[in-house]
Amino acid sequence: MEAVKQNFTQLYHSFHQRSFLFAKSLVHADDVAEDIAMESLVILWEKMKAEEIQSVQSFLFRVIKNKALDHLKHLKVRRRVVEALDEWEEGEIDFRVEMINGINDEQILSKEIREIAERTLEMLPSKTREVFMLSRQEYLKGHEIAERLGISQKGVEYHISKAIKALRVSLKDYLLTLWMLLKFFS
Amino acid sequence: MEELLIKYISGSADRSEKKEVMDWINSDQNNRKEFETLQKAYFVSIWTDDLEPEVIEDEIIPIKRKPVWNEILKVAAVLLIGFSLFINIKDYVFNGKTNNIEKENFQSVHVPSGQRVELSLVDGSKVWVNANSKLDYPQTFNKDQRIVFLDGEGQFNIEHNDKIPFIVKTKDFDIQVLGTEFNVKAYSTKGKFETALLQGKVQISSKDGQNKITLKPNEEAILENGKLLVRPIQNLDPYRWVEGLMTFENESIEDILLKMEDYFDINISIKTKNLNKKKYTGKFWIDDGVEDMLEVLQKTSDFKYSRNSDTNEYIIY
Repeated sequence: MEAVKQNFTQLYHSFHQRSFLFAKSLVHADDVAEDIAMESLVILWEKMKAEEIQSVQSFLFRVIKNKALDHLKHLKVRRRVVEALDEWEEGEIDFRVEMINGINDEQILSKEIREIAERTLEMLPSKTREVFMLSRQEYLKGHEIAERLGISQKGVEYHISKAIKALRVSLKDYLLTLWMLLKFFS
Repeated sequence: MEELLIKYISGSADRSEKKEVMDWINSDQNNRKEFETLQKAYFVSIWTDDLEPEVIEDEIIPIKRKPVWNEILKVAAVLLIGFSLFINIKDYVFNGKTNNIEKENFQSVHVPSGQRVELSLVDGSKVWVNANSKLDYPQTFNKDQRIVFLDGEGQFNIEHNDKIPFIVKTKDFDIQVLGTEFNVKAYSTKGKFETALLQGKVQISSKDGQNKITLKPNEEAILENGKLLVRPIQNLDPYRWVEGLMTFENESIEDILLKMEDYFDINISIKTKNLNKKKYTGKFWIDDGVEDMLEVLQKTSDFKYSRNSDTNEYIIY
């Protein structure tokens, strides 16, 4: 029993922050994202107890994605009943659903993309890398990073968005090449 | 706009910001593509891990090379150069008086800039020789010892043989081994000497025989102010050149550019005083080429470059 508890703690530590960030990016609400992250981790944990999981990350990725989709579908119905939604707001939710459906976890989690990400992040200025690591590797929240490094929360956001921009630039090249290769071979 | 998009993607945009993003996306088909890439980047930023790959010894031992064909062609090219220019039996004396060994039997391989080559010796040992380096090795080893001469950098994987020690001679030091894997960096022109032991056991002795030290696995010896210092290997990346990986640790842009000159056999002239003074740590695949590296460096330091294809010179300004 003790061992089991400890392992869930480890699992939580390794995956909670990224599950939350991922869920929040899809559902746009802290409380819902927190619920989804927690529920997904429990599902993952149950699954891991029952069988060997090939890729923990893809499994978690998909569970969160499906839960987020469910939430958005309900949200649209509920909001329509409770409060009038502007047309663009409905459109915005539809847009998110469409984007989520388009996410390809095999691609996002692929070795190639990991390598690109790794190389990109290594080239970042050290402060940016440090902030990014604390956020994504040590699973600290924005204000915790700000405290630890003695910078403002705005500063933390700045570094994280800098890292994301750098990733975007290198991914863009890669995705373009990939797209051309697919064209070429199809 | 990018800031706003990131805010939206991370799920922190308020109502009016969402409206702004939607308007932007609907205004142009290309914007949608932009958005998708940025969103992917965001997801990658969340799910990427192993940013600091753990230093596992196993990682370095199987010599994995990235694009195999490229590698084979390169090696073939180097070997051809070797055959046409250098593979001749030479007799010369290697660096002075202490080496009174018959060298008639020796072959010599020079590896030019930007290349590296793998050799198999007659006893089954393997040697990777790095750029701008020279290895002299015999066609047959004699019965009591196996001797090679190195000027430059080499990585050795030595066939075990208790009875016949293997000795790598460099300008200032000799490295004696039984059976082992290690990296030697001893460019005579630079007055540097480094040996890193990956597996096994080696003994390093100065030419006068006065100083002798023994390395254990995962230790490296470095010549500093005329003395050999021994310390644990801090980072295995510098020894991954055999895989075609070029690494930097806390180095300025100028130093990196200098190294690139050596590796790629190009000239780089720096015409700006504005290169930043930051230190960089990172790695590059040599196969990705000069321009790829320069582009990555540009992202963190404000410079432009142009290439003169006649002289193979790059100008940084």
